[in-house]
Amino acid sequence: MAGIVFDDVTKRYPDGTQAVSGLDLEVADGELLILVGPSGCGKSTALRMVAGLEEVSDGALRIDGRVVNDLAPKDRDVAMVFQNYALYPQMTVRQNMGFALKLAKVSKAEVDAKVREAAEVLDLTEHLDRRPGALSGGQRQRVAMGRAIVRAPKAFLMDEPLSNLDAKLRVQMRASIAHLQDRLGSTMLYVTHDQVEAMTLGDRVAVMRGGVLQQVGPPKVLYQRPANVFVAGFIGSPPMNFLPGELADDGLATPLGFTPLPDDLRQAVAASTLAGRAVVAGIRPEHLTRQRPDTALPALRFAATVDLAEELGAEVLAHFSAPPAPADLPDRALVARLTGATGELARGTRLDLWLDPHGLELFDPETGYSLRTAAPA
Amino acid sequence: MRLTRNEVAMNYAVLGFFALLTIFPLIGLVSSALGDPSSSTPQFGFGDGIHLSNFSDAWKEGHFSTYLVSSVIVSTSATVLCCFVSILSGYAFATMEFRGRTVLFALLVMGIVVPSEAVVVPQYFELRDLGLTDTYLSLILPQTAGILAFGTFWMRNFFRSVPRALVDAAAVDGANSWQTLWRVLMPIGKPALLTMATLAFMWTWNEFLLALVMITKESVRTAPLGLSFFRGAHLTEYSLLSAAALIVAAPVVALYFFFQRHFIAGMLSGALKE
Amino acid sequence: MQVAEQRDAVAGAAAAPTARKGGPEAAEAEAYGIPRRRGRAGRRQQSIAYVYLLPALAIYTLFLLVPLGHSAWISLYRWDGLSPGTWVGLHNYADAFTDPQLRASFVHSLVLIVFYAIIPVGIGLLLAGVIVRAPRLRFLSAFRVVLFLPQVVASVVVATTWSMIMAPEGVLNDVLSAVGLGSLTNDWLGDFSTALPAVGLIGTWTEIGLCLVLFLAGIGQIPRELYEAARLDGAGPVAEFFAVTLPGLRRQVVIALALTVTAALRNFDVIFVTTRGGPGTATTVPAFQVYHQAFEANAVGSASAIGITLLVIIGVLVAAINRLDVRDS
Repeated sequence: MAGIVFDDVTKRYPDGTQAVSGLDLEVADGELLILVGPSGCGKSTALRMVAGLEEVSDGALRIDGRVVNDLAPKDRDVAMVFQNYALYPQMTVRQNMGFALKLAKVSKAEVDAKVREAAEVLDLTEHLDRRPGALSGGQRQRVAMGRAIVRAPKAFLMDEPLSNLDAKLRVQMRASIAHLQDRLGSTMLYVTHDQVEAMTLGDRVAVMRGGVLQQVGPPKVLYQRPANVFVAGFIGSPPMNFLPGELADDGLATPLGFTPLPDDLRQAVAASTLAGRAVVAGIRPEHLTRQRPDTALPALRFAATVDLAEELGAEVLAHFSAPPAPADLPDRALVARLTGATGELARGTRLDLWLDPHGLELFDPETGYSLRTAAPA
Repeated sequence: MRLTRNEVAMNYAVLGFFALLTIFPLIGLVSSALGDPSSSTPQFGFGDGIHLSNFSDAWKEGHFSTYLVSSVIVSTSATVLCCFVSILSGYAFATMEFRGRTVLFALLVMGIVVPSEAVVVPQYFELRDLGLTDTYLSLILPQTAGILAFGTFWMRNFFRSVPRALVDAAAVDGANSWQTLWRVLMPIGKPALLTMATLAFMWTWNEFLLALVMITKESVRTAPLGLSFFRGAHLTEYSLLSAAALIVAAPVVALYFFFQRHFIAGMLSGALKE
Repeated sequence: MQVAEQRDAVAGAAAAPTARKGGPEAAEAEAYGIPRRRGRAGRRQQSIAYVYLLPALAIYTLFLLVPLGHSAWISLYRWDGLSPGTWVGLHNYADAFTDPQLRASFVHSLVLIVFYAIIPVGIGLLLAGVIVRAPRLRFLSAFRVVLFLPQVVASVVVATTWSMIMAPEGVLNDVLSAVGLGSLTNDWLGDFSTALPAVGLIGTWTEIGLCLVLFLAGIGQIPRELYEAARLDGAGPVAEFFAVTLPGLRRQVVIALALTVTAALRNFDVIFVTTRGGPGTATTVPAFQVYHQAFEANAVGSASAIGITLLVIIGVLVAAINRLDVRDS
């Protein structure tokens, strides 16, 4: 197993567009790092550069300490699982899984043994002599994984491997991938656009946007300490609520009302140039509550008229609007995640909600950076 | 909207009429070939009984065994050569990037439009200078040159239709370009290859002008050329002539009936939206 | 000639897709398969491509491009194939207009185009109008197999067959006599006034099936809803034809025209076998002239010029027809 290092890597296309700009990222040996972001953010391009399917325009790409920019895919000892599996249609499952080893001139006996072993792990033994066309989506996905596992490569590259599966299967496969990675201790670079998948699977998650790395860290850190507005709004479902705010001496004025700021935020504001000026305030749905938050600060209480209530069983997502301020801006749609007894929440119901100040995030309206955390390198 | 029974009947009638019109001369050919060889008129009815002797007579007198062998050699060689060469070039154009790619492809594809009449004369002189006239090569090489224009286009089309991820997977699995071509892509490409092969075989088998120009020795004569000479010698022996004509047409027609979907699809490939 | 005309089937597709793909060539180039690499790796990849291309390009250049260039070169000379030729510049081409024989052969070609292309396409369209929503028919593939047969049979065989049919003692005359039109019997291919139309008829027979098959396939791609909408709008069969069928078959008509017109221009085989250009010069066509001038009249320069002229005509036609087609989508 080996680590993957992006050292100021850029991918530029002939017409000038940059798919990836100055990427500095390290996947540690044995780590499962998730690359996540909206479509077009460059995550697939970055992955394909590691595979050798895209050329690196600038910077150095290292696998196991060795610069691989000019190496052909077959010389890099990486295996890839494709979004559409890319199984060889004319070959049986057995042949698909053994293809790379055969090319590497491994002895037939050894190929057989390895294929059988991987098939057992992936529960594919009874399908070994069938063709991909005769398999279900889930089975095909496992064959694609088997094809990669059999090679025992330096690193696994996964390009949205679960996105073609139905929801239930996806959850199942997520668990088995995590389990597999644990068991094999392999280095895995995993690309997905689904932030839920990112959060549940990864040791660390790297968020990309427009070719630029926004933040990298363990899922919890990304959730609780997003580095900028984009990460804050991308990670978490339902997404963080954003409100315009004006900083005052002792707190923050928002369309919902005036809220105090916890100490660490107040210090961050003082250290910045934004005191007394406009900011973007972020508050996650779970920090808008029915009960008064447990804090010494004078928490903001406001009235909300429900537009839509999504009953999820364990919780209710209440959608409401913040009054516009100034008057010509459109209503802001906000979501509160309410647990416990809420009664019937029909459209038009008036709720009394609290804003937990400890859940506040403040962002510089121009740069998007979070005041609380340091800007990403 | 359902078709009325009248409309269905009309459709069948129209199609049937033209199908009959189309096949009538050919059926007549068959009946004439089976007809009385001594008759001085073409026997387009089946009246006179079946005289299979016409076929053996034509075969022997017309030396069609020689001609058919020549045709088989020429058509098979040209087809094999053309397929092989087209696969390679189509693959390169579809999957590789290199300088002059667009220009070279346009140059090759232009060959589809070039009529043999425009090149047969200098081809003759060129091959004569090379001492190759009256050989199979004089038929194989020029025809391969013409057909590979279509072949390259056709195979490139096929390679482009394969999902890119498949080629990527092969690359990551460690296959080089040759291995990817033959072990991953061509197994999928058998239908496309078959279409090209059947078309190439048909075109080379039916070729007349080139053979007329290049071949003077009887031993190397191909079937269509042989038929033309045979006709000259037996102008009014209609039954004999019909039998000979059938012998010449039979192989390709047989191939056609087996692979008709491939023939029609290949020849009309530009006509239908993909 | 039968052979090359069928290759024209893809001439339409050859131009159209690249025209539609548009976009920067480079982006398209990067878009597929093994990517471009710079430096040592890059140069290695480029040379591999050339290795793959070598066989095709070698054969193509040696046996098509070189003769083509040679042909263009010879066309500027008067040459009998043996002794050194004399430079005449474009004189051979001018002959196409001035020499009555050559001029006549081009005129004959025009006549044959009517028989090979206009009539079959016309009849095909008429039939397309009559055959409504044909794809639901059973035995469609059987019909297709039969209709397409003339395209597959060697032209020499076709010519032999028809020369027997149209012989003075042949079937055509027999049928005419049988229906009481005995006075019309003739040596169709041997009579000055009927030889050319007779050859044309052979062409019509050969190409009609092709057009039908093409149009049948094309009709299958016209959405049923259009016909239903037309019916609801009160369109009768004629209006339906012009409003829905004809526009829907536009691409097929274009291809059919390309194929049939080139067939009309490349019909050496049929002419050679049936009439040798005769009687007299009644059925000489440019395709035949190429052979005749080069190998019978020892005027190789003239032959080359005619060949090149044919190439240019066909090239222009195919390009023009393609332009019609591309504009469509």
